[in-house]
Amino acid sequence: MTLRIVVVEDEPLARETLSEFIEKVRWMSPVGEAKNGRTAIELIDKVQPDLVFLDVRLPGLSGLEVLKRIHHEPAIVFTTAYDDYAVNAFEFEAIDYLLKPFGYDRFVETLSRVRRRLTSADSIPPVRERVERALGDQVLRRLFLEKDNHLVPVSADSIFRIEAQGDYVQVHTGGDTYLVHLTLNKFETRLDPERFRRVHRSHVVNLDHVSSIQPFDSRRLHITLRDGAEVVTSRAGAQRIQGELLK
Amino acid sequence: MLGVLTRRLGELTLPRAATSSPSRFWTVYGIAWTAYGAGLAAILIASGRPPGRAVFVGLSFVVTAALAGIGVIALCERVPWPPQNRTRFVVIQLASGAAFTVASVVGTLGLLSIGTSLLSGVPALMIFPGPMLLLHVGMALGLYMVLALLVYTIQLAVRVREEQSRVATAEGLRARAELQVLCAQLNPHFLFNTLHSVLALTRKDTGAAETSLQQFAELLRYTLRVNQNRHDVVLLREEWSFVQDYLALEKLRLGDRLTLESDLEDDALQCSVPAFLLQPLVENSIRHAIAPDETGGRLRISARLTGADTLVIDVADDGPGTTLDAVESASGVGLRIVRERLASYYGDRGRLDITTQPGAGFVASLRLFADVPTFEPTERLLP
Repeated sequence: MTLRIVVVEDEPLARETLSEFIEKVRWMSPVGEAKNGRTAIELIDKVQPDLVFLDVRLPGLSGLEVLKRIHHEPAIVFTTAYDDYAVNAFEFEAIDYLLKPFGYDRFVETLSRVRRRLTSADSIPPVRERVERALGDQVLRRLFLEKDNHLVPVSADSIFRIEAQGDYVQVHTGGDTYLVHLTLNKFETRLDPERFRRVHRSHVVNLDHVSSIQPFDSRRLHITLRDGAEVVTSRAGAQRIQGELLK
Repeated sequence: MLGVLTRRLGELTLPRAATSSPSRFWTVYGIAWTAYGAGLAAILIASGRPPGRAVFVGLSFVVTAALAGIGVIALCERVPWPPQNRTRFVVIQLASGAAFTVASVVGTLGLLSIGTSLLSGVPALMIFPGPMLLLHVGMALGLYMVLALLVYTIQLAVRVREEQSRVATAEGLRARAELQVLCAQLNPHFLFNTLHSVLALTRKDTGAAETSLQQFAELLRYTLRVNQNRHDVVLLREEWSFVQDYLALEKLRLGDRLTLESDLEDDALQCSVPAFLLQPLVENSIRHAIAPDETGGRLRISARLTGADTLVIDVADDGPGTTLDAVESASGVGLRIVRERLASYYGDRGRLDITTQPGAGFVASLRLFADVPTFEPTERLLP
């Protein structure tokens, strides 16, 4: 399968780089370039590409606005030099992006992942919908996480616990584990505070999936989840749980 | 009565070291006096006094001296070291030393008299025989000196500690301010996009990639040098060369969207100015007028001397412009940095005027006192 590609990028050298990279890959064929948001919308709707490289910051309309306004629904890989807010949010829905500067290797790696996903049988909501949900500020009800190059819908209710692993978090549902490139602090801001409780610097648990809570020592608690996982709280974490029990 | 006393003690100005834990201070104070009293009694016993009598004398002396000592502490706190008026300090200390001595001798004798009267049932007035009186006066004076010395030592130690933490805080604040300026100068968007462009050049045009990396390095060097050396005064020529490197890199990203016109006169370039005076204004125009526009825009930079001693620098663009209100309420740090630098370097001899209207471009105009250095300020910048 050959992917038909459109590049939306305002900086000439960055545009050239992408075109060069695309030409090197057998299964990609470039079908158009746009330098700004307005022409990008026309171009995408006209040539109906399979995949669009979309710069987040563009003169005129931003990449996110372009996505909102196109009728065609291609796969999207965002390119951005630095956009903390968007890039962080993209992780919630496993939205693909390339961080500048990127060379050929990183380009191919990202693209291979996108292609495997496109050729798999996953039925996932359109990127536009997922981007809007990721960038929204409401509590997450459902998110798309990546597992073995597939996007898997994960309902927030089905998350048992979340554990910090440096810059990443491990999301544990009943049986599966997902790695997401987000800090626990950022992740926590989008969780339902009624259900999810930070019990430790590196642990958030879903109170709905707790099977028992016992004292660990005079100031800390020992929490057992329904999948058998055990978490010892910090002292501050114990207070946050006890506040819940007294309600 | 006891309640009143405790309250008074609480209100007492404690040595500042003691204020963090007053109870600990008073415990130590009590223990020290008890030890002193025990020592005194032991000496009396050793010199042949009956033990009961010796303990009684020790107790009377220590209770009086400890109470008078509280007064000494309060006084020394109010008359801090080093003194503002030396004579006054000496007079106060002499008077208070004498008062402490009299109070402790009279107090001791008083307590002894009361105690003896109570024990024997006959009113008795105790006095010290000549040599004993001398011994007590000497002891009281010695104790006064020790007490005063102790209070002043604590005072100084606390002041040194406070000074250290103040210096540390100020240092931290300055470091943070510097970091803020540094971050503002190295806008991450510019940084990463430039690196991405240079990465593209490495394949396309090695020579151009080398030039760009050198310009990039110059940019970083200038920024670091100005931030490391506290002297951040440069020749306008140096700032201009920095801005040229910056513009060359922006041009790499923006391509033909950026059109530049510059006219900086030689005698203007000889003036010294605070570093990062020009660059934020240029970056401002690029960010708001050139980069957001798909067809780009024109940037005009000029510098000239007018009149006897006025340096005029203009940075103008033909972008969308804005209202002056919007400029004032803008959250960006660029113009703020320039204004702060103007205020600290020129006071009221330099100002920044903004001329703009929606649809009519943006002109930032600096009118500065032309500071022509008599020696090369470049030398001041060298480490």
